[in-house]
Amino acid sequence: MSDSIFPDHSSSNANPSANATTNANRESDAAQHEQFSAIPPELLERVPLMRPEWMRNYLRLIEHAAAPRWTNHCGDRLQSDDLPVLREFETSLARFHESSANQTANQDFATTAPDASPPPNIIDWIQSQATDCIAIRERFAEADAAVRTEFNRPFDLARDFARLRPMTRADFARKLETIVPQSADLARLVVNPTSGTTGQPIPAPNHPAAVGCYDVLIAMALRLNDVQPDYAAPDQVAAVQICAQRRTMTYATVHAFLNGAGFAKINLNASDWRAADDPRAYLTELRPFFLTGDPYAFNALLEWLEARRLPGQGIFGDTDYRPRALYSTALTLSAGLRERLSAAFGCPVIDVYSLNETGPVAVSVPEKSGRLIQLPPDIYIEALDPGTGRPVPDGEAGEIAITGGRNPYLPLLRYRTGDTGRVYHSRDGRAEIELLFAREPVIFTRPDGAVVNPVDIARVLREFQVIQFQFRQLAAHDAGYVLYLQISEAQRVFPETQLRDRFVELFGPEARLRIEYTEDWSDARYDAPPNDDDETRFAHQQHRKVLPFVRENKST
Amino acid sequence: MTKEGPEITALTHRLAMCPNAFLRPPLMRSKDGSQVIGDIHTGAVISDLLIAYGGAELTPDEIESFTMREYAANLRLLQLELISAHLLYDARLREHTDQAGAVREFFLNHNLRPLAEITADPRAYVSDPERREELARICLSQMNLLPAGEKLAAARDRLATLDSVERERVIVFSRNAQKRAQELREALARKAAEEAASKMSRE
Repeated sequence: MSDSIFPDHSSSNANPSANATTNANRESDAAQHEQFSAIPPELLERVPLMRPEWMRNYLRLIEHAAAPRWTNHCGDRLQSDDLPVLREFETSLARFHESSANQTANQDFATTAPDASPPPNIIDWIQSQATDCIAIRERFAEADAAVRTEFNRPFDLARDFARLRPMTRADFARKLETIVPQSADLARLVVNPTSGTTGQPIPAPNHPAAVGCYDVLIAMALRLNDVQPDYAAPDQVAAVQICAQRRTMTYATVHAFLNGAGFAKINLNASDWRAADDPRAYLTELRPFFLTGDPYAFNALLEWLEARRLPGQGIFGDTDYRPRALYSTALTLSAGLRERLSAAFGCPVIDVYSLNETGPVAVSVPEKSGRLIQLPPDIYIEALDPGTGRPVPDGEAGEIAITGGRNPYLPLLRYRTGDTGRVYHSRDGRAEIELLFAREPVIFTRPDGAVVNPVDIARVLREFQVIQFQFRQLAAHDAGYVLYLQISEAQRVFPETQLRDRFVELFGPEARLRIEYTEDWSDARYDAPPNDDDETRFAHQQHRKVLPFVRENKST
Repeated sequence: MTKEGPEITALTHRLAMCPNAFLRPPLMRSKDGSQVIGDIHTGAVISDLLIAYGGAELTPDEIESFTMREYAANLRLLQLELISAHLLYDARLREHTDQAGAVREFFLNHNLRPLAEITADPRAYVSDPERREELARICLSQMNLLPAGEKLAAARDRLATLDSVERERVIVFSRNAQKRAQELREALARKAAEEAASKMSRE
């Protein structure tokens, strides 16, 4: 291939003095060009900072003999001007946790929120968003009017923060244009699909640099759990995400910020693979540093591996591969499953509270049992009284709300997550969370006993114009399933037959499904959490959150 | 706005009685700067007004700055300033000599420019009762005066109701917001169909 095809690369690699160019240099340049030419243009679109020396790792992930049949392509989309942003975030994160370590050692946690006001970095950030974000400006104006009427003085952000009306999922669903800053350039907007396991999926625009910060946050979560990620050596695989559902997007890529370390998202579903044992071969040969997934998927992986394990073998069969950590997100991780996973995989299981709208919020650490500590420095976590939107005292149950973040398209102001927990603040505003009722995993069964992941039901319902739903498996044996549906008014005739066909694909032809159309999400549709704690149940009922998935117990 | 000025009706009546001289074409420089056209020298009128408030007259350069290029928005601004000068010559306003500085700033900063930019015909501030009230309230607020018999909150509310600039801002803002909402909807739909950015964990 001629050099002129790659003018940029040839000029940057060429020796400035043509006369001084040695044969060795020329050969090295030629080799470089050959490698560059091996980067397909579409890969450069997905991984704009792709380097020739990462190609081998990339191809190994994609073309491995035991690789699944990939359904998609994906890349980090990071550009060179994103890297300083990520590095700066990495520095501030390290600083935050250095001071956090000192503070924890000093036991410097207040028993109640000192003044229910975020730290100065959050106040400055909110102020900086106020001119460009209509939703924040509107909330400032409302609070100003209220403060003037009540106290005859103008609104003061630090003092009156708790008076600002919280943002909700409904604001995202219906008035997103008031939240996305007016001057934000939409050119680099990305939309990461949500699984919808925790309710109706909402459109959450994001930016590649903000998504890139996940790599930084995950690395810190690992470090806080005494696992030191190191991707300096070539051809590393950072992580594999485990999914266990009928259908999901799968892909493999490399992450530029992690020195080209690989990442793959795989699905244990048998039809994704060429041979039955391929998932194990893929994992043990690529040796990902850690695994990510939700508790449901980890449980499925554990059962899948145990079913194939021969007597005397380790969990991954006859190999010495062990992930250095399991990074669990999306659903509540029960203590029992956590112990089982940790014992079976011989590594820490890190529980992370993370939402698509907020990114990672809090992480479990060995020193704190039952509590997650705030992971990023640029958020403020509160627990709110669901009725008034005012913060509850530290240690009381409330709805978790998040302010701040680094997504330039979603400046969050007291964003109500819908999850219940107790929050404890240190004197400088950082938080620890005890999640009380967040994302309890629900597992459905088919009449033949096979399990069905709620993610698959959410995926099917995403294809139809559904405003709200609740899917219930009834308790009585073979009584079947009920799907409560609120459909969009724009949809005159709901394609129920098609929906039933898709349901049969998941649950089999024997399953009986009753569909009920409703607009009334009255008390009957709300379930108390599966927890006997009165305070928790009370807090949950106050939220009146429609649970998307319910499996009735026999006693229900 | 702490001191009380004249009643608002007295000022709107004065505006309604605005002599034709103030509505005649102000002196302006042709677009190429070669000619001076028009009848009334706005700078000179303003300078006289400031003297009537006990303030210093305008310097020759300041007077000259009112002889603007013949652009439509400049014409409307000078017309509005002439009408306002007539209003501010009101004897009850001129008693507030401590406001000479505020009046000077009002004209030299051309504080009426935003209003001039959205006004089709400045003569409406003489002929239309609502616009007369708006201009009267603007001038009073620039002089830090409250209309006689009104409380601060009521005066602010009334001015906000009449505020043409604010109304135009809201209209433009809502038009822009709609356009922006449409752009965002399109971007979300397009990007949702495209590949996302790789993320190692799910939520």
